[in-house]
Amino acid sequence: MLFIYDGSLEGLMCVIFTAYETGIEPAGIYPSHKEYQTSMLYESKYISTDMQKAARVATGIKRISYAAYADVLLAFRHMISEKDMVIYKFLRLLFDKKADALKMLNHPDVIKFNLFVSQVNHEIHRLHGFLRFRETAQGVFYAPISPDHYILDLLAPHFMNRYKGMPFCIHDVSRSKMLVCDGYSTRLIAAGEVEIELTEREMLMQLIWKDYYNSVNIEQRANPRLQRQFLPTRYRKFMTEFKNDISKSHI
Amino acid sequence: MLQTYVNSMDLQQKIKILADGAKYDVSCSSSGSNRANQKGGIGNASVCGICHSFTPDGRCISLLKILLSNNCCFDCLYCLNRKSNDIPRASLEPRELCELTINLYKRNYIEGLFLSSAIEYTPNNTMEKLLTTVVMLRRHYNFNGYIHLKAIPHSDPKLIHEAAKYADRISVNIELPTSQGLKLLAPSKTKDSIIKPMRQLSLIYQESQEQKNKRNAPLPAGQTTQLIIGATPDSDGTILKLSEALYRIYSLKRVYYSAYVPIGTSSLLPATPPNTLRENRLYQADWLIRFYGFNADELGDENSNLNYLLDPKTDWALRNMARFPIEINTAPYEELLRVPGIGVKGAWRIMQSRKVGSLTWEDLKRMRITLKRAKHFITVKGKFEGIENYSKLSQNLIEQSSSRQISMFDSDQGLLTGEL
Repeated sequence: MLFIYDGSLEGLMCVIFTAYETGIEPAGIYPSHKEYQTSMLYESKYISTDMQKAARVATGIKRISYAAYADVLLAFRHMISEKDMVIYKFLRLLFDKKADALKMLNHPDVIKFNLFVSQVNHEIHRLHGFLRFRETAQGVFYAPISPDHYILDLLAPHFMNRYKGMPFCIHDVSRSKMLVCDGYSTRLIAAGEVEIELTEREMLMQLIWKDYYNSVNIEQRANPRLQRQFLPTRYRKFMTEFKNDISKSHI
Repeated sequence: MLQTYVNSMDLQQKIKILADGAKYDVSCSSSGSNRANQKGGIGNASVCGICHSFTPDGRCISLLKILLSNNCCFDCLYCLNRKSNDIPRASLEPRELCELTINLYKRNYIEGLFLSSAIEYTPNNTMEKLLTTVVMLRRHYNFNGYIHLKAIPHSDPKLIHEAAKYADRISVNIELPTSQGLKLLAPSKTKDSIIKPMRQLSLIYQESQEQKNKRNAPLPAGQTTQLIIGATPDSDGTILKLSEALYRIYSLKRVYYSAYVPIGTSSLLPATPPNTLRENRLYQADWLIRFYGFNADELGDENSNLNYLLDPKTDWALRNMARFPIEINTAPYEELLRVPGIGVKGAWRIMQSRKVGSLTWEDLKRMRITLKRAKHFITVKGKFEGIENYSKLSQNLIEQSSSRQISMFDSDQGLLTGEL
């Protein structure tokens, strides 16, 4: 049977609740807004979201391991649609074997789950490094990003801590969402295309950074493959050093 | 602030020159400090370090690595900035440098500053200027990001003591592995002028680690040093023995190995391109000493080089076949670490999963143990799947290794890491 849910974390918790309640093993789990293959073999069933059921599942997980619950929240942000089944299979094992499941690092369901968690974590860490702010004429520092996974709000703590008192916003261009911080608190808003005006100082800093980047390189040790391994091309879109010319454009 | 940018053309030129002069110091890490932001301040340090970019040579950019001045009164033969080299000279004022650092930091280009300098006038004069810059950055600009400062050989210990209060890490580069090399290629720097500050820094670091409240302890990220590889005929064995002693005696956090890049015009120095394979093998050996429980003399004699055909761990294993095979389900952690193809992460995974069940060959494959290498040194539930004949095994491992190192300059491992 294919389980369809509303795409929220609580919705997924309800799918897990239903699977336990009915004893039915899902053959696939899909959020309703995504397309999925209707199959001749499987029926589809829509699971509605009940906040109390979701809370019970969450408590059940936390009781076994709070760390596992935190990991589920991370894995949920993964962009691959398989993530729902990966989370389900891991939780199925966790409820069965309790805390021992966390040590079963040879088990395929644990390995897959941990891989998804680490991919999300890895991207957060990478963006802490690759994200670049541009100083706008309004005094707000603006940074466009297009991450693989949905991690926009997870970037907030690091940058809020580091740039206390400095107004900034981080714009997930591919998902049209923006994290806005006035220097002290943040909020998430929907944001499509933005018109930004940069300061003269900003243009100068971009030029300086490009010069610096080129100066630091040791040509006799060229190794583009290694560079790509650490800095995949998809992250270079908004990085100053890879732009061909510094113009007034904010991207 | 705008005044700084009135001469912005000059500023850009100066930055190019001073960044170019600093790049042969390969230390790039911004890790080891969990300095917190303060009220009214900007910045913090991330204990694991953050890489903000990578250059075409594959190395990470984490800090603004720059010289305060490249106008040197010393004449070390291997150095780009030596007095007798005819290159453009420049220097920055402390305030200019602070403005530059803060502006780059705000835009998330850097974790902080790596500041060094050529020796202008005298060592003390230079060290004072460095100290002034760092104090200004911390006090006037309220900067709480990462600062790595170089200690100038021959400078007053009082200055270094003061600098430790403001920097996360301080380092002084040994550069040349033996005192003969030093005498020949850098006669203005004596062995004592390098060892004395290292000793002082290690005492400061040890004291700060013993402090109960580590919050504002000096030098949270300790000290490091750098060795140039290939400028002198010193062997890998000599180099590793030195590194091992430095880690043990001076509690160094890292030793960096930098393949000599020919930039000088002296006949005493080789003109060959940088030997990055050798550098990679040294990093691998360094990792074995620090994380895998090896001693330097297990990896090679004082007067010999590492075997470049194989990574040092595999080479050691082939010379110690009497210790193998070990049983994957019962061997202790220290022995697992010695198996080629099992890394620190792999050994940990094996230990964890053994607590709740026994392991099979399939399990090991899933857990990313490199069985191509490991299978010759282990049994799984008593079963052995490797090559028994020693010379066939050697050949197999050498072939595997060479297909991973396609050319002398194409290393598929991280350049500044020895993880296998």
